[in-house]
Amino acid sequence: MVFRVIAAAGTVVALATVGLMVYDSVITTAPVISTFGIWDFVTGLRWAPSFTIYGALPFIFGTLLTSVIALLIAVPVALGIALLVTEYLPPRIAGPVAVTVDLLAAIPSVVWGLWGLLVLVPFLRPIEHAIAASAGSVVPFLGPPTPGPSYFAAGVIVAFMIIPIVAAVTREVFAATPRLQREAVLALGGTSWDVVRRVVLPIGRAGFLAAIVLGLGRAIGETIAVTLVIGNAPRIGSSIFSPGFTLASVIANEFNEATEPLHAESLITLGVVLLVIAVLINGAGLLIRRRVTQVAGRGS
Amino acid sequence: MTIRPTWKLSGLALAAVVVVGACGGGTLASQTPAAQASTPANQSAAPVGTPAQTITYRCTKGDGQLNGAGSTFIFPLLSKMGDDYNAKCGVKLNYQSIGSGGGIKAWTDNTVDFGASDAFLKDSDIAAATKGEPVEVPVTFGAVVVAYKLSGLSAPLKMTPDVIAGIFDGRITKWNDPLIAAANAGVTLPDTEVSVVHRSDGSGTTSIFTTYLTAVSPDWVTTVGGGDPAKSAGKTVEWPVGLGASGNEGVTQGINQTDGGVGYIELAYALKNSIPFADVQNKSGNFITPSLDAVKEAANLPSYPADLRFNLVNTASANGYPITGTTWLIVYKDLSKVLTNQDRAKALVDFLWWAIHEGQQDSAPLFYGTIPASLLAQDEAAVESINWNGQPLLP
Repeated sequence: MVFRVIAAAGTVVALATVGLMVYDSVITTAPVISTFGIWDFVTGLRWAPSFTIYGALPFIFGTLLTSVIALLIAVPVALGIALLVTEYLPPRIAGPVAVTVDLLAAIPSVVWGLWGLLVLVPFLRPIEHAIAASAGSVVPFLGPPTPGPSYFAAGVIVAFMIIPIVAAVTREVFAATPRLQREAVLALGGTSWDVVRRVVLPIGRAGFLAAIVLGLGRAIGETIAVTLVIGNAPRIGSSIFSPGFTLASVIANEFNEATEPLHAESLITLGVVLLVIAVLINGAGLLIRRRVTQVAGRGS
Repeated sequence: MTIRPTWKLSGLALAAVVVVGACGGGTLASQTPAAQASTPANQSAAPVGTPAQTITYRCTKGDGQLNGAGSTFIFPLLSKMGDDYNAKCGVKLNYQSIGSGGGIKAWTDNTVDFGASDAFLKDSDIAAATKGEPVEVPVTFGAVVVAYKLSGLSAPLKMTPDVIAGIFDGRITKWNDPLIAAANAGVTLPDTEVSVVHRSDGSGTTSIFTTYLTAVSPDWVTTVGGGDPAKSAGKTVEWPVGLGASGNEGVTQGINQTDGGVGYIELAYALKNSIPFADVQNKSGNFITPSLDAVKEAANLPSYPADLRFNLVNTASANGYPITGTTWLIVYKDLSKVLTNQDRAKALVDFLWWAIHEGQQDSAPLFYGTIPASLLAQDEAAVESINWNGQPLLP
């Protein structure tokens, strides 16, 4: 009974906090929306506080592009790690490998960011330069200039940060594959690759998708690490090697000195845009997780 | 799952506080400055007004602490001053380096005893301060340098105002641009691309630098401000080129990493990181190497306005460095309107009095310029004008 009351109180506090936050944010966005209109704000290309002109599109673009780059890199790596740990490595080695990958998740994002700024960006710059000089003349969005800090660098850093999350969830999903079905494949003369291809992947597919959504949720909200390596230019770059900006990083950069008219309000509106994107992604994750439970026929 | 957005938002808010707080350059305070031959110890003796006059200090304890907020630029100096003042008088100084704009806001809202800003209060700021009239006390001076990284260059570059404006408004894209070459006769300039790094956070450093560009270059005003000088100078402007980095450290890092990189940073950071910086042509046509002496020259005006709201960019001083700025400490003139404890008000003016005199000795070791002798009397008058319902607070 006591526990129930405590739990209920906790829930109420949490919900009230969310409610208050949403309410407060939406109230604060009112002057921005009445000045620019929702559509014009979201699709506006120019962000110029000194002119009282605020458009969110460069940041939405940057957030989505860095997240997509991060996923393209992180998902195959995380999938490989998960398969390696659950299917191929002997348990004695698999355990330490899994723990090591999990430990990556404990590195603070500011450390990732500084490592990105001091080590990764100088390392990537010649590679970006080479790609831009060769493939860049043919493939769009790969062209020069390549100053170093860029959407691409931010995507790579975020990829490192979400690999442990995606790998851990995927690993749990794969480990939960029914033993009988694995043994059935092996009994029919299948190799361990056949087990992966015919049992683990089909059964775990939905759970794997949920892991990706979780990773994406983390990627879109990442702030400090991205701020340090993305170049913080409020423009839509012509190339993935251009400097850009994300919703979260512009808020971190500008909120403290947002003294121009509507500047703070516009940043809060960007926060609401980020919130909406996060809710949409979490909603998608919820739907996918339901499918997992239905398809795999198991709890959790 | 429902609470996830909460985490995200509050995380952002926290992150915002952390990132800007971290940009203040707090690391400087604990650094031993790199050897700089041109700043001898005599700098610290400079602020003492007339030699015959002995300055006396009173130590009102008040509540044992004073709170301030604002400029990140002055943070290392105020940290050191705070330590020294605490050792002397037992009054602890809590200073949040949240940026000049934040400092003005905190002072306006009366959540701190004093604000610190790298730009003087605008008329609209004063109008917004409904709790009373401000007193603005300039306490320290600094230079913003144009730092660059360009391999295969031996001599420091010389830059005219037009070159600096051209680099930062995007007209100059290569280092061997004729404009740069004209100012650097005899120097072989490489065909490297100019890669501009500017501040991404609102910054007093940006304010000093863009105020300078606005003063010297009509091109800059047209390109960046659309012809309006109010829009081409400030803590944030709409940069036509380059990438943004957070804090002096971030910009320093950005310049250091790219051949052809160029940006504006405080003199202290350039010296600490051994980044080359340009000699800048001042109003008199002389190319001046940034140094504390050149800052002092620039700050030494024949006269100062009564309200102490002045700009030090592009001053007429023949040997002054033209991109020079000031940090003001801002307090309410009648402290009885904002404080309930008169002793706290006394503690505040005692600290200010100490800061413009003995406290100035902390300046030179940390690469800050001291109050010029020509200004000190007006600074003293400003501190003396702070009162409690009409009664003076200083003895």
